[in-house]
Amino acid sequence: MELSVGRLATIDVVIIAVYLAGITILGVWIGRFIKTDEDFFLGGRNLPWWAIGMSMVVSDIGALELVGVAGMAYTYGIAVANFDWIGCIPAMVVAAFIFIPYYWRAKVFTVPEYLGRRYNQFVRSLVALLWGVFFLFMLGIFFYTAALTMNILCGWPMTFSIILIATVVGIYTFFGGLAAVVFLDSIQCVILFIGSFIILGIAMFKVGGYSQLVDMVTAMGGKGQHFNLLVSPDTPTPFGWACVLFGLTFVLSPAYWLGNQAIVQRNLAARSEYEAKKSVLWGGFLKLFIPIMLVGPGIAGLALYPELAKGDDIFPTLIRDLLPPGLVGIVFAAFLAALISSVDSYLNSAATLWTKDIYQQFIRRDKSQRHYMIVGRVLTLVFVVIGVFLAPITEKFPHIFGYMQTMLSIFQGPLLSIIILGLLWRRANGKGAIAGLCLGVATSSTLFAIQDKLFTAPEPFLYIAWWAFLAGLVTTVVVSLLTKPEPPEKIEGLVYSSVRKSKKVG
Amino acid sequence: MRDWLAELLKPLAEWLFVLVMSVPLSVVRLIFLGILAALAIWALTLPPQRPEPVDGKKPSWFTDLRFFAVGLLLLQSIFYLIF
Repeated sequence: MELSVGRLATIDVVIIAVYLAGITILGVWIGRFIKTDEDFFLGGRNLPWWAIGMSMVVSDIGALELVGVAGMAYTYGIAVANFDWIGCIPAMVVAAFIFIPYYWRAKVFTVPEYLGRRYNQFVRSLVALLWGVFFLFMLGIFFYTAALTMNILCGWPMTFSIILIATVVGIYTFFGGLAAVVFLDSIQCVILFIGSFIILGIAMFKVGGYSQLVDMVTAMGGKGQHFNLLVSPDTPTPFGWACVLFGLTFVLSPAYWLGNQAIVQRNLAARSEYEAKKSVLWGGFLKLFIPIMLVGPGIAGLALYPELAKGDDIFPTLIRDLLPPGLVGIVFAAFLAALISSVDSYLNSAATLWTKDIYQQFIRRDKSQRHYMIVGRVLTLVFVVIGVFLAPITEKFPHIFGYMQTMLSIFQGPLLSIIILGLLWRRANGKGAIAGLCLGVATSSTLFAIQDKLFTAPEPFLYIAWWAFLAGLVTTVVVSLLTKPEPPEKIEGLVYSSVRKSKKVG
Repeated sequence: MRDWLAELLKPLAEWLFVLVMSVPLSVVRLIFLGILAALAIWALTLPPQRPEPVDGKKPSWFTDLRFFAVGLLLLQSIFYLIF
């Protein structure tokens, strides 16, 4: 049998097969309850907080992070943990108390829909297109990272791996929509935690404990900063403290947690406003453990395998070399869980954006809820195929994680600026938002074009995100002040000051 | 065009780089911890974040999400104190 190639024993193959079959069947079963577009895209707005929180977190740590973050930790040290700590927790607290309640009360399906109500249809369509195209590229990246690890781990052909994942995710997302995604993600979250802590525990045991790890890594020379969260901007890493603070904490992280449709869509599906807030804070709590699970194996791997050519090879190498049969199956299932949870989220969100913000707005306006549900399902299948074809493009970029961040930072900064101003400043208007978005994206694109001549940091996407955010912010403010304000009745209930006065919670 | 733009922005980039390099890492740590502390204080100033009362009963204080948030930020601060 072809699946027996490489390191996988029969027991591992059985574990993986049972896992994949189980989630597929469960997803199809959930699909029996899907009747309308609200069921398909938002789980009938009746999903529990604990499942949403777990889904948010596990969607954020796809295989991309298992491979990429462990690789970055191998190469640069624990500074990469900033992405999950200062790069998540503060933004999630702000999102829980300010932004998520507004989205939830507005009863929208998507973030662009909120922006459309706050500004205008053009802003909605522009943002939906940006996210919609980005999600399709992300699907390609996710498929590629899965295939890469499977190839290193057990020699599976890249094409076979891509098609396997695409088939499983495609089936249960097609039938079950967001409800299947969220409930299966919560199962995958548990599997991911178990698998990751298994590999961390074994790697640390091999190293001989934390003190031994520190001694071994510092003895290598040139690795003095591997155990510092805060590193100087002149170190050869993309994580100097200045870009972490300005680019990550102030821009990319908030943009992600309060502007990324794949994340926010779950909160919109909560049973109540209180549960929507609680889900974000629960997700934040789980986030505290992620660097321990991902960065830990990367640094332990450096002590065990100091001569790897590429940092991104460390996670698959640890699985292949350290784990006995049976445990390989569990850890591999955890890896698949991470991958699948990201793919299903982006797939479902892409289908939501293209259906609600593009198809329903420009192609068929007044159709039944069932019609839009069917369109969402058809688009789910179409996007699986597109993702499969985009996967090989990713191979051209050496650092997978940096690649994703680069793509994000082009438009996340400007997008955040119009979201923040839209919610917090009554005077912000549609013309200002369009100008801010366009100039912000132009700024980030220009800075990317000249990055090698301007920045000392490798992959300076965090700095670029910061400057693009500022450009978007200033432009939106100036253009808004020079043009007519939005009518008060149009923005009622969509701006912070107007709702805070009511102190409505729960 | 690319070179011209890079040359134009280079002095500003270098000035900013020197500026951030002049900040000691101990001060940077304080800034990071300060952000977390400021957020915790802000969370406590918000109105109570409890669920809707059921059967007229007021939910317990520990259902108040403000305390969840403060706990989360405190836990986060520990990592930035240690590393």
